Amino acid sequence: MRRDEEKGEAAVFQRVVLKNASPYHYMKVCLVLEDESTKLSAVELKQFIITGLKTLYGEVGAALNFDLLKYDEDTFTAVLRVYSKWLVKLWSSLTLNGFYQNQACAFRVLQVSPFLLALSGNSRELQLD
Amino acid sequence: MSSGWRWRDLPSGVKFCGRKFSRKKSGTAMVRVKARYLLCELNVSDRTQLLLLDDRAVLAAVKTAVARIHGDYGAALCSMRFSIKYLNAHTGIVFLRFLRRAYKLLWSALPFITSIDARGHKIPCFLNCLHVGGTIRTCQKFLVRYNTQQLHRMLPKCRNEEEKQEVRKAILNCSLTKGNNEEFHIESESEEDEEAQS
Amino acid sequence: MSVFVDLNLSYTADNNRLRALIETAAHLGFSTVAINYVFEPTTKKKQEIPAPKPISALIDHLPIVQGRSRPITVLNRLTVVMSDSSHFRPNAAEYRGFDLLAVYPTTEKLFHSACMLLDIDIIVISVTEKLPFFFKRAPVNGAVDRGVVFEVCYSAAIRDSTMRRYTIANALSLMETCKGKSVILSSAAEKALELRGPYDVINLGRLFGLSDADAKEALSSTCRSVLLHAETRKTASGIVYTRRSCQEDSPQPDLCDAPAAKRPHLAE
Repeated sequence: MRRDEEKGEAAVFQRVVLKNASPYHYMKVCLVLEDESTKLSAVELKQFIITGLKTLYGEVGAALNFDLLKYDEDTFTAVLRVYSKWLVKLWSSLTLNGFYQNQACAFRVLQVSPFLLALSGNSRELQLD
Repeated sequence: MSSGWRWRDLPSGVKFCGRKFSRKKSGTAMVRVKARYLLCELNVSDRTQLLLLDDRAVLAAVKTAVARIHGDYGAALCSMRFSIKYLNAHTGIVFLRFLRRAYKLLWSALPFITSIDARGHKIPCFLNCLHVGGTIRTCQKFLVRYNTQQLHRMLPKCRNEEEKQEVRKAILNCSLTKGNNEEFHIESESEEDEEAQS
Repeated sequence: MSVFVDLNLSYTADNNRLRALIETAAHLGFSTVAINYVFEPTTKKKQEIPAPKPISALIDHLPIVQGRSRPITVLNRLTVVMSDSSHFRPNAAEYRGFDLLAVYPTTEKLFHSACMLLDIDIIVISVTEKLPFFFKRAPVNGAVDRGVVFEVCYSAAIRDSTMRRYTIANALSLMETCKGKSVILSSAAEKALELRGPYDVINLGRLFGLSDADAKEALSSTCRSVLLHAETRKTASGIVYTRRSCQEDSPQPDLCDAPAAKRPHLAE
């Protein structure tokens, strides 16, 4: 910093680049079901996601590691954690999941971020006063 | 939104400033479709069962294994330009052709093949990949060299002088006319190969 | 944040379902959608080309797109299933009512003529069957030069496992030929639950062999150039444009008659 000051034009901003800040990606997903009265526990949800992975990516996909960190049974909203390397696989299998026990369903991916903190709020829905 | 408007949004032959504007025709040069050829060896416990095999049985076995290991995505990749190029039922040599961008993924499913259904028989076997090449020619060259090596290894194991002479002759044969008529020599060597083993 | 477009929502006679489709699309963040009317000519009897219903008859007020303050734009599109070259009638008056024109060629010869000759905007790639022909470089390049794009629909992949294999395989072989450029991804959804969000579809593009940037283009700027290309069909070489000066019968003359480029949602 001192050297910068000596130059006269001091650098006011410092640029910090973080590479591979987090090995994981976090996803906030919401399951939309045709029949909204269906009950789904956390275990059943994870099982359902694994089944989807298995149909699209086979046994290799079923062995993929991901965690269900938080799940709200009332709104069917869940937070998933997955290694960044497998994000594309997990996400595409969620997208192509179309049926849960013979009823139509869809996963809406609300947010994806390498930082869990980012999922606490959504800047796109921010209401500015 | 980056470039909203492009030249190709216009119908062809639009006149600009009195000059006919047309895009340069892109070259229609032939581009070779790239593939990977896997040279695999079928290992079975009972060698007589090898003769039951045919192209379709191996094809189906590979396809089911890929579908099981890599799911729908793998099956989709496996349906593109996948074929059995050559199958030698005597020696159990198979040439598999894969799409080049996906060959590693498809290759990873091959070790999971434990049996092949052929003509109502279930043949327990496994595939051993010997060589990966970009063309059939390189695979063939490798196969000739590999089979010569096998003959060399067989030489000390011979039980009597007659067999020894035969193997020597075979080695001499393929080292003399190497590279001339490879297809023929693969066949002849392979048969020698089997004879000496049984 | 770019403007996302879904150029294929299947038309159903059921108004409620269509309304639900449009509302879901707006909720997911699509700024423009097109309702797709499929016309499949058969040799036995003469069929009428379906007439597009005016959007105002389908839905009273258009829902607001999520994340912006404008209502969604709804267009009409006709897909002609071609199994014979006589099925597509150039300059037919019935085609005028549609904003977009697409064909679904079923043979290699028809694919070639669709790429090189026909005055259309979109060529639909089959996703429900094994590819009946290989994509050749020459016609695909011709189509790219003319501004005609290829469409891959993903809702069949959601419905069925076999269709999923065909969708992935056909999409991959298309991407190999056209290198990811001038391709659009659309839903062809019949139900609201078959629609997916734009970022989900971009991720799905990875599965179809598109790069991230190409996949995003497939939903935004390529679609926009399709809309502009469709606009040129109505005009003289895309340069001269005439319109009637009496405007008393059209409720919103600015929105309906201006070229797509000048419409407010696309000007962003």
